[in-house]
Amino acid sequence: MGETKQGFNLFKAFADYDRRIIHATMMIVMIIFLLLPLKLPLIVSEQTNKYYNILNNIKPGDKVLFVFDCEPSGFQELRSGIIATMRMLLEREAKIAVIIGVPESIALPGIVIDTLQEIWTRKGYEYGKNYVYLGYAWANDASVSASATNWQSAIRKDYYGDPITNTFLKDVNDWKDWALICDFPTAHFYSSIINHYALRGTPLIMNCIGVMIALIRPQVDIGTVKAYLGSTRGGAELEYVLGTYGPGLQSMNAFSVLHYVTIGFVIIGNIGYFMYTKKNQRG
Amino acid sequence: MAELLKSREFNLAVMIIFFCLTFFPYFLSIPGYDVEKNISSKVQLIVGLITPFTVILAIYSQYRRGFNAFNKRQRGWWLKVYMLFCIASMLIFYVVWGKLSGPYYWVTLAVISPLSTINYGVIFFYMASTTARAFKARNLKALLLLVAGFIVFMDQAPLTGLYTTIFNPVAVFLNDTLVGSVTRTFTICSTIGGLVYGVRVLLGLETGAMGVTEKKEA
Repeated sequence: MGETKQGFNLFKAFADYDRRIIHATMMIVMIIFLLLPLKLPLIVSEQTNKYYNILNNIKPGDKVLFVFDCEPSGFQELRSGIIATMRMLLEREAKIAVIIGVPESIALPGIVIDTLQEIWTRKGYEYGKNYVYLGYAWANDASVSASATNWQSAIRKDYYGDPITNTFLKDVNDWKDWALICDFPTAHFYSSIINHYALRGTPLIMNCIGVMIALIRPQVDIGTVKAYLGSTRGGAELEYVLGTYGPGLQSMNAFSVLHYVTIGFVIIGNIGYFMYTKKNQRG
Repeated sequence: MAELLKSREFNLAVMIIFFCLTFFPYFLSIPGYDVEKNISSKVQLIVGLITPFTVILAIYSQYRRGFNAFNKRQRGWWLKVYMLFCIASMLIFYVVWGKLSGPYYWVTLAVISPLSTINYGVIFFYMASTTARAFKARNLKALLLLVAGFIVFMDQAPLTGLYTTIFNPVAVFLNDTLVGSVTRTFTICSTIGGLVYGVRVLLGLETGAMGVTEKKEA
């Protein structure tokens, strides 16, 4: 009737492309670059260097609290940092108490321990003597507070129901007895650790998810948090410094390329906006 | 007795007494009175012991809602059934075989962990498509946002730093000044808001915190 057949307009396509095109492109690019065995170098940030130096200063026998403060949803983002941090602590022969701050993460330490099985065996780590698993012992702010001032009355048993008096934790009385706390938060539970441990003086380092970096940064500036690893990239940087190829470095290629692809889509969208949408608006 | 326990005055009095016992000794440092070991720690432990009981209420609530959804065949009712099945499995595995058993770990690793990871990972696609479609230089403000986003994005991509460092100082500046100051403002505002709310509770102006609702005058 009155309709005119229009040809393919590239700028129109740029202006209103379907979001499924973005999703599909992202998915394909991600899979390709996750499967490619490229080991590209990384620039290591100042924060990661600081984090590494703190871990590197741990002496054999120092007591370290290793806090799984992450839900399984955020665990994949922190996985590289958690494994790399645990690797360093094992290599430094620290005494490690693994504690849970989020009930869903009760099985996550097993994944980390399985990944680093070779080092646990090589270093001769013995349960009770060198490490303890406390399970979901930090249920809320109250339990963190109580353990900071009177550990023995707040946490009496480990995850397996055995008294902690049979472990290296028998010597722990309060916050002063910890050489370091390594926290891996995906939510706001970390504030309890800051309030009851870090503000009293226990050194605290963190590997947090990306959206939390802006919240953690002021804590680093004022010194309550000594250093942090930012998201997967921080974990990958630590892996790079350690010379180990783990889940962080494996994801960095896809991580980089997906940033560029997103920028590419933004540029395409803007070309479409100026060459088609805006011209049509002017009439 | 029940009326007394539910009364606004009684709840307020209890709150003020515990506030005074915890707050003032913290600053006054009374010899022989360790605030953390005596009052604060005990009250917080009581809270810690009471809290897990709410989980029972949550499970009850989920089953009630789930059965309602099933009976009415609401949209996605089968997802509710799946969720209730998983809750029941976890409870049974825990009660029968214990928390150290393989089945209990299996539900955690094979159901909870992958599903919540997917739930979180899907956000990436929404973020990417929203960024790509919404970042248009429609006016000066949008252009500034676009340029800032471009610089931060380029800097965040690990490969960029290997070839050029021109984005890094600007990205660091944007993060340290704009993002940092906004985050601090937000934190300070929420802290002040919390303090004001606490004072209002102690003055009896926020009765909701005590579980007491004001009776409206006719």
